[in-house]
Amino acid sequence: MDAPEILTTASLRRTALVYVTVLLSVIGLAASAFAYLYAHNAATEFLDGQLRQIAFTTGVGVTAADAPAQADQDSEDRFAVNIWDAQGRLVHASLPSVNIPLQPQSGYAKAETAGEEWRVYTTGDSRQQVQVAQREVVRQEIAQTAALVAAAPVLIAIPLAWLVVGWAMNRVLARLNTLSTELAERSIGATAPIALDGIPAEVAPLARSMNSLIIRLHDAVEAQRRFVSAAAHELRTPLAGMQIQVENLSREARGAHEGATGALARGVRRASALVNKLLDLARLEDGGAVRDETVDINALVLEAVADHAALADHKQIDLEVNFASQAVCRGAPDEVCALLSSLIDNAVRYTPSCGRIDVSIGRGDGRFLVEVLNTGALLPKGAEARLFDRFFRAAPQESEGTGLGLSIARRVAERHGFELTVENRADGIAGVVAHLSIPAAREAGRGTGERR
Amino acid sequence: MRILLVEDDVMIGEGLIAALGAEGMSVDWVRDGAAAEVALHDTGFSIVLLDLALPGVEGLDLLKSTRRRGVDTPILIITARGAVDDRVSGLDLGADDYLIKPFEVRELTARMRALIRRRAGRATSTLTAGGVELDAETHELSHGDAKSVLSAREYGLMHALMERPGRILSRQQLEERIYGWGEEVESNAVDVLIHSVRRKFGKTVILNVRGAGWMLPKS
Repeated sequence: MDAPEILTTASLRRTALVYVTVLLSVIGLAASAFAYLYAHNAATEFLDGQLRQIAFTTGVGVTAADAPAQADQDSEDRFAVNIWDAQGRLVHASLPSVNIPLQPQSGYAKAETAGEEWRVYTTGDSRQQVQVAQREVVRQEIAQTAALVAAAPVLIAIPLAWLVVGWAMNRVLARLNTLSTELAERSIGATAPIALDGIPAEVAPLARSMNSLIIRLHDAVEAQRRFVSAAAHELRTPLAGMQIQVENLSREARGAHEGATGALARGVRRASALVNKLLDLARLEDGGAVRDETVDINALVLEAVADHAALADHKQIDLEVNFASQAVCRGAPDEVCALLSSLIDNAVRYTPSCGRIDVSIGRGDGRFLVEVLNTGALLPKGAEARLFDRFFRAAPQESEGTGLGLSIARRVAERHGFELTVENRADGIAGVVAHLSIPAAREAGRGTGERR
Repeated sequence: MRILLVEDDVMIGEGLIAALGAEGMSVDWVRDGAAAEVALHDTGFSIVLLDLALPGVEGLDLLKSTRRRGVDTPILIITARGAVDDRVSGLDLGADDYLIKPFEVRELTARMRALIRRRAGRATSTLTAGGVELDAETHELSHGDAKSVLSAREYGLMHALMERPGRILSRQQLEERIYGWGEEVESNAVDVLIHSVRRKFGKTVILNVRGAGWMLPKS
C-alpha cells in the first residue's frame, strides 16, 4: 500500500538523480561496448597481419630464452614460432614450452593447448611448414583496455553529476522551503502576497495562484469582520434604545405595570447579553491571530470572581479561591478573561442557594491548572458531550443563560492551546468540575506585556 | 446642568432626554456630524455624550478636532462598537470615558457624575459605590438607613474598598492601604476592622471571597 504514498510525495531530488544516473550508465555501457568491439576488431586485423608477416619472413632462428628482452615485456604477448621440415620433424620452436600441433590447413585458425586459446597462422611449401601463434587473450586485453578507457569518464561523471544535481536542487528547494515556512507561519489575516523573486519559474504559477487565494481569503475575512462590526452596531443600537425606554417606563410604573416592566427589563437585558455573547463568539471565529501578551492568570481569576461575587453572595454561596504563587501565560488577556468568566459564571448560575464553589489555581509539569468546582446538580446523562455546543443548556430553560458561555470558553481555549473539560465531580460530591490546563509562559518576565 | 447629546438614533435620543431630564439635567440633542461640530464650539456644557457612528462624520475625527481646539469639556463616548481597539483609540484621542450600548441609565448617570466631579477637582468629596456613600471630610459612612462616623482605621479600610468597587482586595493589599510603613500590624487587624464596620452597617456592606479578599459590589 506504499504506492500512493510514493506517488503523492515524489522527491524531485531523488527523481532527478535516478534519471541522471540511469542515462549516464546507459551511455557508459554503450560506449564501452562499442570501444570493446572496435578495439577487438582493430587488434585482430593488426595482429593477424603481424602473424602472417612473421610467418613468411621467418627462418630457423634463436629461441626466446636466448633473446634478451626488456624486463617489463609481457610474456603473454610473445609469439610462438614453430618450423617443421618436409619430413614433419620439428626443426625450430621459439617457445619450447608451448606445444601447438601443426594445423592441418594453411591460414588462420584457433588452437587450444594447455588450457589457453591461441590464434595460429600456418603456411608452408614443399620444404617446410611454418606456424606462428599468439595467445587470444592479448586481443581481449587490448579490447578490454579500450572499453575501460571509454567507460572511465562516465564512471567519474556519475558521482560528479550527483554532486552537481544535488547542489542545484538544494538551491532551488531551499527557496521552496523558505516559501513553505513563510506560508506555514502566516496568520489567516495576513495580506502581503508571497514574494515571487527567487522562486523557480516552474513554481511561480503555484505561488501566483496562492497569492490570489490569499487575497480572496483576506477579502472573506474582512467581509466577515465588517459584518460582525455592522451587526454589533445594528443590534446594539435598538437594544440600547429599548433599555433606556424600559427604565423610563419602570420609573413611573405602578401596581400591575411594575411586574410587566420588570419582565420587559429582564427580557431586554437577556437579549443584550445574548447579542454580546454572539458578537464575542463571532469575533473569536473570524480567524485572526491570537495576541501574544503576558497574561496574569491570578489577576484574571480574581477579576472574574469579583464580577460574580455579588451574585454568589446574594445566593449565599460559599465562594473560595486558592491562588498559585505566580501564574503567567501568553495570550490575549481579554479572551482569557472571557473564558474564566464564563466558567465562574456557569458555576455561580448552576449552584443552588447555600451551595459551595471552590476556585483553585494549581501548578505542575510546566502547566497551570485552573479548577472550578461547585456543588449541586449533576450534569444530565449525555450532556457532557454537548456542553460546548452553541445554545445548548444543561439546565431548565427558566434559568437566565445564553447557552453560549462554554462555546466561547472552548473557542478561546482552542485558540490558545489550553485544554478545557467540564464534567461531573469524581470525588463523590454531587456537582460539576471545570478543568482548564494552561501551558506556562516559557520564561517568566519576558517582555512587559500589558499591565492591567 | 447642561448636557450635549450627540446621537443619531431617535429612540435612544428621546429616551435619554426623558431619563436625564428626570435626574434634573437639561439635554441639548444634535443628530448629525455637522450640527455636532457647531454645538461643540459652545463650551457651556458640563459634559458631552458622544456617539461614534454619526451620519456625515466619523465620531473619532470629531473628538480629535474638538480636543485640538482646546475644548476640555468632559466627553463620554456612548457607542455600539465594543472592540478593544475602538475603546483604546477613543480614550487615546481624548475621551474621558467609554460606555458600550446597551447600558443601564443608572450606570451612565453614575459615570457622568464621576466625570463632572473629577473635572471640578472633587468639589464634592463623597465616594459612592455599591449603595454605600463615604464623606471624605466628615468620615461619615451611610448604607441604606444606617449612618455613622468611622474611626480613622475604619475610614482607611472603606476608602480603599470604595476607590475600586468591583475589585477584590487581599488582606495584604488592605493592610498596605490602611497602615503606614513600619507600623506593627496585628495578624487579625483587618478582620477586626471589617467586623466592626459590619456590626454597624450589616453583613452585606462588605463582600468576602474566601481565599481572595474583600470587595464592594460595583452597583
